[in-house]
Amino acid sequence: MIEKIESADQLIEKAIEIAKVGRKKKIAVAAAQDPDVIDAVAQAVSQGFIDAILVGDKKLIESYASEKSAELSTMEIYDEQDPIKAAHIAVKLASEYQADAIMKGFLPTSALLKTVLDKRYNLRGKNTLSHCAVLDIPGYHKLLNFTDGGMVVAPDAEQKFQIIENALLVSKSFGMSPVKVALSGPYMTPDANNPHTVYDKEVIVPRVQKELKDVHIEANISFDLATVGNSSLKKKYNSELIGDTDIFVSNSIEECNIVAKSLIQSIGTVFAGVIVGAKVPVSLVSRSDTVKNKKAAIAISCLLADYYQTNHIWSDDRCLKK
Amino acid sequence: MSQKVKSFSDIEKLVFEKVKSNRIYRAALVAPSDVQTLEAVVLAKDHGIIEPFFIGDEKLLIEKATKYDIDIDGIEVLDINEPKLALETALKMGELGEIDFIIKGKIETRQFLDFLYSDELNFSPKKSASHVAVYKIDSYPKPLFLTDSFVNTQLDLKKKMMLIQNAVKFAAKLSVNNPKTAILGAVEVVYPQMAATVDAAVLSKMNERRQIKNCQLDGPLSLDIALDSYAAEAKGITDSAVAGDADILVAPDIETANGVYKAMSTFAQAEIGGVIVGGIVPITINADCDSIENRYNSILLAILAVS
Repeated sequence: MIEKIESADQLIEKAIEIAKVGRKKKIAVAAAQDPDVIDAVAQAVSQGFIDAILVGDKKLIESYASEKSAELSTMEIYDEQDPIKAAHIAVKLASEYQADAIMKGFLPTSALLKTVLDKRYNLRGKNTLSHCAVLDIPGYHKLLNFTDGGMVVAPDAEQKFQIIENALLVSKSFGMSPVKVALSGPYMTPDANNPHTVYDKEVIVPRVQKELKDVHIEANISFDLATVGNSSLKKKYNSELIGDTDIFVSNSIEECNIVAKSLIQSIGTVFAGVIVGAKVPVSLVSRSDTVKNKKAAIAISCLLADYYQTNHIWSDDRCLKK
Repeated sequence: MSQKVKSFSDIEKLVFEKVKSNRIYRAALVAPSDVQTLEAVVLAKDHGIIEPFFIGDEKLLIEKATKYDIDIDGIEVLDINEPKLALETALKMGELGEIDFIIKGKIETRQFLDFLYSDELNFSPKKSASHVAVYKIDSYPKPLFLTDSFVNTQLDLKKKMMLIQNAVKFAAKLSVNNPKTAILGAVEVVYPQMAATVDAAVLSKMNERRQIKNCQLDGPLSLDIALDSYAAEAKGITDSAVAGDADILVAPDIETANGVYKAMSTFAQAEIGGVIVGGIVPITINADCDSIENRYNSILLAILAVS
C-alpha cells in the first residue's frame, strides 16, 4: 500500500488500491452531458478506480460518448434533461449514500454548489466550502495543496481558519502527518500596512495550534521559501516549513488562482482540484484541464471520500454506507 | 535600437549600448555582505557596465569576500554598520547625482522598505514608486513585465494607475512601446463581490477614454487568458487586443505578484530580475531564492531604468 501520496500518478495508483480492497468509490455526475467530463469519467472507470452514475440528458450523453469513444456500458444513466433537476438527483444520490462523491458536468458551478448546500440533503459540513488546487509541480518533491483559488474571494480570519481545516482533510487523505501549513505573506515578517500578515500570525496560527491536531503551521512564508528554500535558509528563518510545505494558504482568490496558473502555464504542472467542506467531495474539471488533470481530480475525490468514511469524519456516520 | 527585445541577452545588449554611448553607471550596494548579490555586482563590474561602491559593515564584507573568494579589490567601501544609515547615505548620494542606482544587499526586504518610506529617508515623497519585474520563460515568446511583487500593498485604484504608468514607462526603456497590459484576475468577467474585477474594468475604461495612456489595456483577464490565445478563444474572449499576447501583467495584490515572481524564479527557472522605479533612484531588490544570474539581471534593468 502507498503510505504517502506525493505525485499525481500516485493519486491514481492509490485510488486503484482503494478500489482493489473493496472500497471502490461511486461518483454521481450532475448534468453529465459534457464531452470532456464523460471522457474523464470513462477513463477512470476503465482504469478501475470508480463506478459512475451519469445524471443528465441521456441522448446527448450517448452521442458525446460515441464522439469520444467512451465506454458507457458499466455506468448507470439517469435521464434528466434539465441541469438543475439533474443536480438535485445527483446530490440526492450522495445524500442517500448511493454515491460517495459528486462531480460537476454541464451546469454552472454555483448552481451545483447551491444544491449541495440545500439543507434537505444534509450534506453541509460546519465550514464554508473552499477549493483546494492540488499541484504536482515538476521540481517539488511532493504535492502542494494550494488553497483557495476558487471559492472564497477575500477570506476573513474565520473563513481562513475554515479553509485551513478543509485543506487539512485533503492533505491527510494523502497520508501527510504532521501536515505542514504555510500562510502566505510577501515578507517573512508581519507588516502593519498589510493587516492579514499581522492577524495570520497573531490570531490564526495560535487558533490552529490550539484547535487542530497533527499540524505544523507558520505565518508569513513566501512561496519560494515554502517550496524551495535550502538548509541555510532553513537555519536563517528557523522554520520547519522551508522547502517542505504541504498546504500553502493564499490570502486572496486571485493569489492562488494566478500563481497556480503561472506554474501550469510555464512548466506543465499537473493540477487537480476539489471542493471541500461538504460531507462528500465535489469535483470540478474544466475544458482546459488535460486528461491527466481530470483523472487526478477524480482520484482526489476518491481518496477524500475514503478518508471521510474510514475515519468517521462526519458525525452522522456517513461511513456506514449502503 | 528598435529591434524587439526577446531575452535577457537582448536586454544585456541594450545595456552595453547604453554604457557605450553614455558612461559606466555608479551603483551603491547597501549592506554588501550578501554573497550572491556581491557576486552579481562583481560580475557587472567585470563586464564594464557598473562602477560599484559599497556602503555597509566593512569588516563583515571582507570576511565574506575572503571566505567565498570574491575579488573586491579596488572597490571603494564606506564603512557604516547601521543599515538604515547606510541606506540614507546611499539615497543622499543618489540625490546629489553621485550614484545612479542602489542595490539592496543583506537587509530584510520588509525592513528595507520601512527604512525607505520613513520620514527621514523620504525615498518617494508622493508614494509614486513601484517594483517592476521582468521575466522570460520558454513557453512564452517575449519577456513579461510583472508588477508589483515587493513594494506596494493595499492596492486601490489610484495605486494601480501608478503601477501601470510606472511599468509602461519602464517598458519603453526596453523598447516595448504601447505595451499590451493585462489587469489580472481570477476570472475574466466582472463580479461586484470581487473587487479586483471591478477595478480591472474601471482601468480598462480609463484606458479606452485615454486617461491611462501609452498602452493597450484589458482586464480582468485570468493568467491563462492573458498568455494563451487558445485559452482566450475557448473562453470566448475574441475581441481583446491583450488576451494571449500580454506584455505587462498587473497583479491585483502584492501576494499574487510576489508568488508569481517566486514561482517563476524557482520552479520555472525563468530569467528574471526587477527594479523599483519612480523614486529618487532606481533600486534593485531580489528574493532569497534568486540566483546570481537573476541578481545580475536586476542590475541590467536598473541601468536601463536610470534616466
